[in-house]
Amino acid sequence: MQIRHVLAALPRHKLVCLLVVFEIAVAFAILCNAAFIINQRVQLMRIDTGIAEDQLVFVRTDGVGADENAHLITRNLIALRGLAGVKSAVAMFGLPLENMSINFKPWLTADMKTRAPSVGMVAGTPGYLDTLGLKIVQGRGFADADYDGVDQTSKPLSPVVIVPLELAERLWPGQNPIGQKIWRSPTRSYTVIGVVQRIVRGYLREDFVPGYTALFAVKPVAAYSGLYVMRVAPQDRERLVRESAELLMRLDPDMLIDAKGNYVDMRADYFRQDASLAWLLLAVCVAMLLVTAMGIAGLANFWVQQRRRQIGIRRALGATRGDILRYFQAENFLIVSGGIVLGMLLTLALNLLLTMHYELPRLPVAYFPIGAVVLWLIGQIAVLGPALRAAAVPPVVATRSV
Amino acid sequence: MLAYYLGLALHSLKQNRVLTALMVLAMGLGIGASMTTLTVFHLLSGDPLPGRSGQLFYPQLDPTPTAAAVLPGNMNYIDAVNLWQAKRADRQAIMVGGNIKTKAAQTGARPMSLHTLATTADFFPMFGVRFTQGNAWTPADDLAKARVAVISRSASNRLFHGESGLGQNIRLGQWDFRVVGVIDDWRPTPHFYELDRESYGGGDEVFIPFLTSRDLAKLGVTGYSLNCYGNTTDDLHLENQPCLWLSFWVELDNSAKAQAYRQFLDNYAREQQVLGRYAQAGPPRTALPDVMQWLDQNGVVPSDVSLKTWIALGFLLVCLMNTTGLLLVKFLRRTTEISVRRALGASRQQIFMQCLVEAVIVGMAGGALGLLLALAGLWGIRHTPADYADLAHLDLPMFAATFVISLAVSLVAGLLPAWRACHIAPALQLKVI
Repeated sequence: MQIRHVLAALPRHKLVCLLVVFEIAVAFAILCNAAFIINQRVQLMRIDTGIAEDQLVFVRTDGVGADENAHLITRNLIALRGLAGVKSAVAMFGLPLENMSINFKPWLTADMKTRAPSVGMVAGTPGYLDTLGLKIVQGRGFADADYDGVDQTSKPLSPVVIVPLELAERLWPGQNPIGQKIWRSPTRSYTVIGVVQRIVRGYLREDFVPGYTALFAVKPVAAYSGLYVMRVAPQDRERLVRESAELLMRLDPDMLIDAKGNYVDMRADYFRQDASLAWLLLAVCVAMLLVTAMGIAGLANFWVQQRRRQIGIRRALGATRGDILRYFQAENFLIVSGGIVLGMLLTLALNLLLTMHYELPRLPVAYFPIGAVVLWLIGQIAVLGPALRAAAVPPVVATRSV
Repeated sequence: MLAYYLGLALHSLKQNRVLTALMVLAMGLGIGASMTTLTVFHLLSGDPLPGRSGQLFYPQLDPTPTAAAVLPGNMNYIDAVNLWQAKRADRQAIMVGGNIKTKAAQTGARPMSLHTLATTADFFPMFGVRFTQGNAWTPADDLAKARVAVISRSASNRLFHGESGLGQNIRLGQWDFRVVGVIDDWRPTPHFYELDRESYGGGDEVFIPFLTSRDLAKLGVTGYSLNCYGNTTDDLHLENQPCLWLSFWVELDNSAKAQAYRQFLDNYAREQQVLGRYAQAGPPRTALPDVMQWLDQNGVVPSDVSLKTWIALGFLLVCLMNTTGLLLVKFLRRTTEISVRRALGASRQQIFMQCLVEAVIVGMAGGALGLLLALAGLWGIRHTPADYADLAHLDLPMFAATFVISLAVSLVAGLLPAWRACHIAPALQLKVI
């Protein structure tokens, strides 16, 4: 009954209705796509690195230069371990999300015919798996004898490698990874001795699988002498970042410290652009919903004033306050629904454009009902004030203004 | 007449302050968001060397064994040196960068990590780099592998504590270089000639001859990304390694020369195929983009920045429709007043103009609010750690654009409502009163 009244009245202000429908449609399309992008970035930012993030601090230096200085790395590590609160200290390369990585595509057979997808390299001095908090889930960890130097191209000489579960399952599905081999050059092969649960690489890219990494054992060498990583208690982090940097500077006044800090901050810094995009989209969505709500309220207010007489007549003819309230609510629901239907088409079109230009996946339809509920709610909230004012119009208005 | 419309519009806007405030706020938010993101986009997509970029070209060759979808972005040593020695362009330079530990050569000086570029003599005149003291090194210095350096003014100030660095020695790694020139701080935006490091960061601070840097391979100037397409045997001595790591730029002063250089590149690639250096058969894979094409090709503007711009413009569209709706009801509500004016002799055009003036006032007020919001937004961006953060300022063109966009948006928003308003019939409405 109500709906028929509402439908009958709508064509009387076609232009304004159409405008609102279009506005809701565009808002819906932006809302759904923005929510989708925000969700994508948040998922990315929540990536599990597999390491004991909140207990790690690092100091990045310019390294020791030539290989004849490699003993300085050992000296520095011993000194760092002497700081109160440092549980372990290692030199390493390939800390997850450190914003650079060495990547290689290993061969899986000696004849160099089968090649694996790109794998990120992680290498460190004795004890680095424990420092990072990596647990061996199969096979064994590195023994002291496993640690060795690197060749002219910085490839580890040690012939053993540890891989995360994800890579083991990709390279040798259904087989025991222990004892399998990968080749990095015709003459340099590595045998898998252990499997860790997970560790991600230093730099993520669309065509890289984050968890495809390989862990190597190196003794202190100049090539990987820039990054010192320490395991400390969370409450000691700030103090030890400062103290370890000061200690290293005392040991070698000529040393350059390029960066230092705790791992959690470094990780946040890696995702700062994603965070900035997510926040901007959120701000735009909030502002857009606000503007839309205010617009709807403004229009509804106008309609209520314009129809005061009609409302009075309806009230005089027996319509209750509730009827009038529901009339405006139903009208708003219909207009918003029209906008949502049109908005769905627009959303798909916008998503198609975004997938073409920004390597975004297709939008799941699950966003439609969520976006629809949000806009219905916004519409109902916006119309409530004017609708209540309409409901308050006394029947006597009908007699006055005719 | 316009003054009268202005008076009428202001009167009408004052009559309904809430509605006016709503419209101005919506326009302000939309314009503010759009101008903030547009300014960043404008800044990042600009021409790094206006007036010169059309004559600078980036030759591309493909020595790799398999044809990828895009041509390699760097050259290997042999190709770069061959093209450099061929001297077929008006000017040409090889370049590769790295962060190198640098200090003044006297004892007790503190080292610092400086962006160092190993290049050849033509670099400076080719890119129009201005010297404040001294000169570039000569082509003879290049071949002699001279230990000379050019430094930026700010590097000179930091290394020599404000004293002139000209003629002094600086130590890179463990080797001393004599400073032969000091350049004005130079920061092409984006950092077009070497895109592997952050594209909008500071300029290079130390310049040394390329062949000298090869002579001192342990200095480690091997670029910010090393891309090898075969088995490598050495990470430092890259001369014979199948690795792409060098940039090579040429200056060609007119299109005939550019055409001739394209021909030369093709011939060179064919020659290398015959020599067996290039494994790929078939027509030569070469290209010669100019600066802007090269930046385009590399998608140097971060895709997030353009995504933000599009979202903000979408938001502006919502704000625009919102304002249109509100203007429409505002004008229709004054049906009586307009019909009286029509009955008293106002023409349709006059009503139309009057309504548009009102829309433009709203738009301009929104534009002013938007400008404030954009300034606040850019202030916020300057306090983020993005590499372009310190560049985020509203320049004169964008300041003007704010008002042009406000005017355009308010005219578009006001068009439909004004058109409706001027079609209100005079007599019919008079009867109602």
